[in-house]
Amino acid sequence: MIKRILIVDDEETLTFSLYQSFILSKYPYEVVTAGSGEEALQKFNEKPFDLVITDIFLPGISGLDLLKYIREKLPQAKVIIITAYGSEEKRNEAMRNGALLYVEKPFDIIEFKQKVMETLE
Amino acid sequence: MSKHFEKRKQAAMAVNRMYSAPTMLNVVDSKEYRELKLKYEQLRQRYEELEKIYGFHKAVLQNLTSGILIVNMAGKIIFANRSALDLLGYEYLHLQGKPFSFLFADPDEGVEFTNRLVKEKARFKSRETYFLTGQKNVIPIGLTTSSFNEIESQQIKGFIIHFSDITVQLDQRRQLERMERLATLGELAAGIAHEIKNPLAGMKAATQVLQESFTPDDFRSQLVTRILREIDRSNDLLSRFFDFTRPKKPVQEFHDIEMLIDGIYLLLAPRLKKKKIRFSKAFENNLPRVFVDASQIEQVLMNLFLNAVDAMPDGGLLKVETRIISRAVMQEGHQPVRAICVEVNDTGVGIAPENLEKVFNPFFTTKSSGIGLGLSISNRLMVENGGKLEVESKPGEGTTFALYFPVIEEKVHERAQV
Repeated sequence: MIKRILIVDDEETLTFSLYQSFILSKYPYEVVTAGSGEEALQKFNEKPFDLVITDIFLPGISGLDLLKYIREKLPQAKVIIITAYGSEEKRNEAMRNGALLYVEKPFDIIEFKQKVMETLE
Repeated sequence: MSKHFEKRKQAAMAVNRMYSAPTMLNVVDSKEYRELKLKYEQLRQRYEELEKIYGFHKAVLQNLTSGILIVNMAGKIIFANRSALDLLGYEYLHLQGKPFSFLFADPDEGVEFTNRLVKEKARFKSRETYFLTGQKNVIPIGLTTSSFNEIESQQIKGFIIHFSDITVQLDQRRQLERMERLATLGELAAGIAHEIKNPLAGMKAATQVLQESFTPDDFRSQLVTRILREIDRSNDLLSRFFDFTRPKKPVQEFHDIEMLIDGIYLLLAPRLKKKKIRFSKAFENNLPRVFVDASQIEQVLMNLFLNAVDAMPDGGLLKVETRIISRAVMQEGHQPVRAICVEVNDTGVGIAPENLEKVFNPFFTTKSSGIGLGLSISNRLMVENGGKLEVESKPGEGTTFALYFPVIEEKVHERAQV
């Protein structure tokens, strides 16, 4: 079955680049992007995703709230937190709430994609 | 004051002699003698009571830790208590009859102040100014005035000036202001750093996707690699700047301050040599160890040494001295403890007086290269390690930075473990 990835960030350059990168990868991922927490929730509720990559600071509900919601609703879904406002507290909060990875921006997209593929395949 | 006492004593002895005279004349039994004797007893008792009251009032005035000066309506000093004399470094004879304005560090201010006090009968409350001591030191003073009225007539006879040395308070206020300036900067920096990291993340991702679309020998791939390198460099700068303005909580342990100084000196020795700067050190023997985060204090020393180097473009002498002082130099709320003082002294260009406090401002710099954070951060690191940083400078002669570390007793077992 084709794996579904949701990328949530209000930085369009980032979501678009990640989208392109996953589309071009050797696995046929289905990639969807969202610019806010609400949009992400809506898309997730329409049809669940195997992996959600989300920023913390978003317009509307935060990435950490999104993480909690998804992990409760669908425990097998994996969530990766990406943030430019990195701190130990945020990292701990993310990991405590079941995040798979916590990545500080900017990050190496090639390494990042590698980790995502390891997770999904 | 003792002169006054001497006079009274002599008067009392004279009275005693006068009333004792009849005894010598052997008129012990006469009526006059008994009456005189009674009067004498009454007088003596009254005299002793007055002496007691006088002594009490005198003790109160003299034992006040605040300085008390009284000036008459002509603005001349007519009284100074012990604390006032100690603070000002004068004997009473030097002050008696002198115009009050003579104590001010700024003579014009002194004249104006005295005029307002005496002529306009203005009241001053918690007024801050500077006095010049007998040793020609300028000390910051906080003073409050009240009128000096005759008890019965309530007629105004002069003015009481109640004052104290506010060096410690000013120091604390200055420290607080320095910290506040840096805290504001830290928040600003954190905000900006993060805001820039977001677009950097987008740029990096987009560039890497682009890079993957070129073959490695394509010249466009090389250009893209360069863009990536610049993005990483910008990010690195931001991260360093961020760490710089928000230092980590100190991990304090006992360290030998001389070892820290020597370590920094060894790192910088080649540079000092190249710049024709001689290095001298004078370490006091058996200094207690300081309780600090070594890497943070090394950063402070490094900053101060590098500033000294920059201040001496034509060479000079960099001198480091350590000593122990017992002055109460630490923060309020803490017991006045002994402190270890490290002075870093250069023979460089010096700092203009108007810039002396500004050197602790974030982004204040007089150098063409440099962002002006070194001293601001150093000050913060010193405070976070329980110490403080002070500066003195004479343009054209050089600058001295003094680091103060509180002496903290090491427990015996801790010592044994090391």
